[in-house]
Amino acid sequence: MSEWERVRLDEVVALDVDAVPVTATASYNIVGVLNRGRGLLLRDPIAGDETSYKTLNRIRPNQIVYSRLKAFEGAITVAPNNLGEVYASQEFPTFTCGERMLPEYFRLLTTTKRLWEQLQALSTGMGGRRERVKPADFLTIEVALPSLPEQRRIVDVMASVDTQIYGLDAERQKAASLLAVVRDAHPEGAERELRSVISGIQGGKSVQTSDEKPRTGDPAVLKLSAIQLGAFVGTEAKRLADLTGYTNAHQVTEGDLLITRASGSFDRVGYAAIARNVAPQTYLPDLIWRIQTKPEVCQTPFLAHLLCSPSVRSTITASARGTASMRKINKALLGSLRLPIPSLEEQAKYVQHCDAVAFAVADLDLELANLRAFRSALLASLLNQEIEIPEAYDALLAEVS
Amino acid sequence: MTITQHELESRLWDAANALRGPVDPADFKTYVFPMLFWKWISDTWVHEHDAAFDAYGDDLDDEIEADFHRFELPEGTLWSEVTERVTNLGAEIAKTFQRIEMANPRSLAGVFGDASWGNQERIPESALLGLIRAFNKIRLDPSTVSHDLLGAGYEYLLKNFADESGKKAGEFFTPREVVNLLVGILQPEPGESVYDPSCGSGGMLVATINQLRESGKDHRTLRAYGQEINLTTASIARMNLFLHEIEDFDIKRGDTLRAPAFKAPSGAVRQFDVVIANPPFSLADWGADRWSSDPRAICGVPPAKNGDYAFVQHMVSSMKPGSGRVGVVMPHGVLFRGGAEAKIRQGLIEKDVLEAVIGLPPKLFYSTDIPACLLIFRDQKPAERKDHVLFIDGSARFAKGKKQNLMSEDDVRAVIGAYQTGSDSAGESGANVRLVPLEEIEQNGFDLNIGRYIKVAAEETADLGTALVAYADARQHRIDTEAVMFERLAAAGVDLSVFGVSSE
Repeated sequence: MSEWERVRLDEVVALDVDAVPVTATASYNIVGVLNRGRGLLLRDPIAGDETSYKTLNRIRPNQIVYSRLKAFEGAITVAPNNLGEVYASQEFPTFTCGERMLPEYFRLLTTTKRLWEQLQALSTGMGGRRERVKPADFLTIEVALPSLPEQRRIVDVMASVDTQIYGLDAERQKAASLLAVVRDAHPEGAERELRSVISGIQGGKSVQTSDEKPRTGDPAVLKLSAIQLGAFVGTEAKRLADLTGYTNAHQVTEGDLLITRASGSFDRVGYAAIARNVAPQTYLPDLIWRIQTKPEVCQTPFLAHLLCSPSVRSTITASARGTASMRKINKALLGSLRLPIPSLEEQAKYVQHCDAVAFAVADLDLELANLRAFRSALLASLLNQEIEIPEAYDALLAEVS
Repeated sequence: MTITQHELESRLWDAANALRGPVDPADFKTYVFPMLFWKWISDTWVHEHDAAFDAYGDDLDDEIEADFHRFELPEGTLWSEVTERVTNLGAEIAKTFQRIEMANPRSLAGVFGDASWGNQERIPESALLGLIRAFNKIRLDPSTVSHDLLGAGYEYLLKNFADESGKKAGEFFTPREVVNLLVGILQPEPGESVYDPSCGSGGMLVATINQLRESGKDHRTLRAYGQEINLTTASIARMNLFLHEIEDFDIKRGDTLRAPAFKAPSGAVRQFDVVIANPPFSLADWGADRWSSDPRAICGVPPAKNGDYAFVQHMVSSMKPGSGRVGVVMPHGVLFRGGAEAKIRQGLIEKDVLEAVIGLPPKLFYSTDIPACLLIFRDQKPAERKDHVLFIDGSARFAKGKKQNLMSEDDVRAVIGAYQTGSDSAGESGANVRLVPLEEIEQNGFDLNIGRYIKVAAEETADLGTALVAYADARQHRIDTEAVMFERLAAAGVDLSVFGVSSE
């Protein structure tokens, strides 16, 4: 098969802005564009008299749209073909695909690093004040253009993978809901204050550091995002250039029960997880605590699941203090949390049930991550013609049309 | 002198409790129902005899007297004649039952079941004596206990036995609210035939008759048919129908899926106006090997390890053209499982006989925590429902019970109302209803999971069964999309041998 033709975007797509004058009495559904080609973000509707914009850009189905300000982060997409009536500010130019470019094909391009890099190259400038990407510049981007039948095949293969990602994600969410139910079915036991079944709560330490990822063997400090609901994500860490002030007591060890003491998001405060597969020289930041249990009355895995159960979580979030942008729990409040503590035997049974479902959820997480990686690799192979889909594939397309 | 329902129930329960200790509560029904039935026909016989004597005095002869009796009791088989004997009581009872059955071959053959009365290991004589003593305190002739009352007492025992034996009860007891719901939806009419292919203790058939009676219609013209695989349970069903004053019924014992007992002269299964059942869920080893040539496999042969769609298709095959309607209790899995079941489901939907899918609250049944659903089929759907399926989410309509949840009469009425009107009359707190066009169901790959069409209320209540159903549906969906993806990738030339998938 021959090398694909290379075209400038202005040969295959055209700027097509539908600027609508704002009426004070009307209501407008507003959208934004997510970075890294993740699609549209639906915002709350606004009333015409709530905005200072004189006009808004109406975004039509199948139109290319990007954020002039955030284009360098890959904030570009193609609006879905079942899109209702939505608007964005004039900062969001829109383009319509000509006959030679399928919108669905261009949508795939918006999910590639290559296009994001091209957009980044067009927006030079400094920091938050980067220059915007102008529509005229956007249209100078060069892309390879397969024939329409080839575009259709690529779109179809990728749609089957995207549907699978969606399906796997839905399965993962339902498995997580099941885990919540199983965690909530904790055995009844004498209610005791948390402080009476633990031997201590230790905090970590934070220093100013760059957001650099640690290399293997580097000392690192965990980010808040390392603690998800019942899951430890050790890769969410920052490189520690200077260990001054840190002691061995700040090091995270395998099996530690960690809990976030603060979060910018109301429902994420008090997330607890057991640290597993911890890299050497991983340190606790000050926003994460380690809880040490008294093993003769309370097993760590039991407490970890219990702290993640919806009923206990609602108590934790209700006891959080602080501002809307930073919710915090304190040691006194955490220690006074009343929890049902059954016999060790019942604790072990509960842990067994929860673990069984939790492992299934973790496996689905891993499968999903690997499937997403496969999607990127597959799309790259299709776009650089490493994989060429045979014409015989069109028999499948005929089936669905 | 009449007795109140409460008195009757408490005496019956006392009688059953005479067995507690040596007899497993799950086996109470095996002994209590035949004794109750015998006591009833015996007391009734004496009552009928007294009536005949009052009418004819010394002129009474055997021929005249026979007209007064519904059942014939040979000499020496009356309750009082047998229970006063002191030796080999169990064996005497067994012999008595045999004689009564032989004297009434058309109506009572096999009615007493096959309990081992003479086996002291199973039922020691002391327990048997306790049972007899307790029954001696209850007169069961029509002057004391009406049919309605006795039927209700029988139901009461069935329910209590089910409560006692927990999971084992699933096979013989369907919660009455579920039965009432199905009957309310299918609306049997006088003169119609009603058939339950897994009739258990006959609860569905009895409820059908009760409903007609309560609505002032002539229940005596209804013909009831049932098949039940378990001998004891089939006997309990027959006694149940007798006690409910039902004359025209036929309960056969046997395996409905392997050997349907009701056949038309053509050899095909017989067809009925109303077909109603709560078959055993997900029956393994149900006889799939015989179904490849069975005409009941109208849309395909169900998997060998799961008989759900065998029951469904048997019931649809048993539905009379024109008037026929089917109501069946099923696990939610039938709504979305893949493979052969998906093909059968698609076939039934495309035939446009599936009228409604109704989600029930969790924990209504003895045998499972998993919420069940009702499938309603109709040979002739009303015009406005053609090419549509009505979805009703009744999952939030229940009161929490200790072991089982309960639907109140209002809950049942609300769901029936939703089915009849196709709209949600109870507003936000009631059943959610949606009439969904077939195209939308096709777009969902013929997945009927209620959550795909209605935002299911129970999702917020988050019980284990509901969460499990949602997970199973999502998993099945992912398996289906994965199969499509593999097909696409293989066609695109991607080597899938790592998955064990051939790229041919």
